[in-house]
Amino acid sequence: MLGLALLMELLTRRGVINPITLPPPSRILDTLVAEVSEGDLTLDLYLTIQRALLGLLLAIGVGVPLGAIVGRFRKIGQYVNPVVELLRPIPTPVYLPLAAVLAGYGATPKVVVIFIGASFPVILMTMQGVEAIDPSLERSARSLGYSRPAMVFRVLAPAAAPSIAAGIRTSLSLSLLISTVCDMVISFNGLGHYLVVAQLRIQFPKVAAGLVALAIAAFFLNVIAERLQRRIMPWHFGRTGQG
Amino acid sequence: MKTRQKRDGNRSSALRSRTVGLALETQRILTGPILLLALWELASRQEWVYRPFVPPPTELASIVVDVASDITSDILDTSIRAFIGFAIGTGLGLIAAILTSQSMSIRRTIGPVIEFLRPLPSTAIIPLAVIQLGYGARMYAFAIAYSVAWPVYIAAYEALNSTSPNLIRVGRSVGMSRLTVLIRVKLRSAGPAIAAGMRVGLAFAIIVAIVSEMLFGQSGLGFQMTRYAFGGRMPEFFAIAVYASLMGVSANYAFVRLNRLVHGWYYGFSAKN
Repeated sequence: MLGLALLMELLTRRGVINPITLPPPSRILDTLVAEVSEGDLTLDLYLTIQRALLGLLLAIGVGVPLGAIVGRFRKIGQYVNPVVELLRPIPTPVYLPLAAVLAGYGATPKVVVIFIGASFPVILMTMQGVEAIDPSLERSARSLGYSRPAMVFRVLAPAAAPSIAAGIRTSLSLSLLISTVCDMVISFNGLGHYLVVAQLRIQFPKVAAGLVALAIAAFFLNVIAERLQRRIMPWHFGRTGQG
Repeated sequence: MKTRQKRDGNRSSALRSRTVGLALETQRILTGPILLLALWELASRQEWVYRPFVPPPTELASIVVDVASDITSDILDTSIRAFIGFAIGTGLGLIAAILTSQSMSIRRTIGPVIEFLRPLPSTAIIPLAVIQLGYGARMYAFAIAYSVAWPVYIAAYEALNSTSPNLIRVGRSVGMSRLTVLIRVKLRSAGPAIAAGMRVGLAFAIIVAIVSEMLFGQSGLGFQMTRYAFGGRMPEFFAIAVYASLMGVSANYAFVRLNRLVHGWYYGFSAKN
């Protein structure tokens, strides 16, 4: 990592790479520090992440129950599945102009679009997780006299949890991605907006600094998600022996 | 499903049970989407949503047909961009995965860079692509390839590293070289997982193509959608959105079909699907 940064520094200083279109790492770092301390970049980054997480929470809130119902009850699933399969391949950016026309450039249309995009992995993985539950697990719990709620929360939920968590992890990256896209297309703020404006104003170090900031934030969000996952279901990681 | 078909088969002739099964299947598939369209129609006609912005589907149908001739070139543009980016991205992701999974030293050098860049939302790269490559075809190719390469790389890397050691030993014992093992054993057994990564990449390719067009395009479905929507011509927007969705649906369908053809052996093995 450090080696690559040094190499880039050297190449841009020597003029092998055009230092205007791709600034040297030291310059990017300077810009990053300046922008973060002035607060512009920090605020935009915060807004992007906030919307992404809101959309993700909504997606979890709707997607997990829906996926569980569809996975558990064949009769309902038969009818809901085609709708999911029909809506899923619609490219998420298609919703952007519609959301903007109906609801403007505020936070709500963005959160809704993020919610739509982030729902599908959660729904699908919950469905798969619930469908794949070993029936013998259920039978033994029943023979032990588990009540219905106990069955749902102490047997079925933990059994499907690893799959649900995998879906949520996918949706986390997806919600960040869509949030950036929303900023770019239908926004006056947020990191995507910051990047596009910097690009249009030909402020290339700012573009690079914004990218680095976003990469760092996304990296830590993923680390946090993984930690949470380990804490909530240590048994899964204990059994498979690795992350 | 299967038990029901079996039961039907016992009751009457096989042919009749098949027609009944097919009819039931069609009914199951169509009910949900039809209800959804009906709800949309109702919402629009009852003015639950502002009707000029969200016209009812029955009014849109004729516009969907009319608009087709105007946007043929845009459909082509977007498809070509998405496909070129998809092809390059798949290649890059595969090469990177093969290199990092085969060589420890390569993994050590570029591993940290990959781990750092991996969570970065790939669409954020579009402004950088514009700076480096301008507004032309190369920008689309780069931005799309970048976002496609990630899911392909991740799927391929994990699959290549989890080839059953027994398979590798068998390959070695029949005298395969390291390269032959890689091509004929590792890549072969990683195929279905790589295809799954490619399927995610395919969706990304279309998303990034449309977003780039929305932002910087002079043509393509993304460009036309924003042009019409922000120009207040919502019926045309919806019509184009239908084509954009059809593109996503048909690309996905074609890929799944092709994958079944290539990896039939895999889906034959596993009990489900």
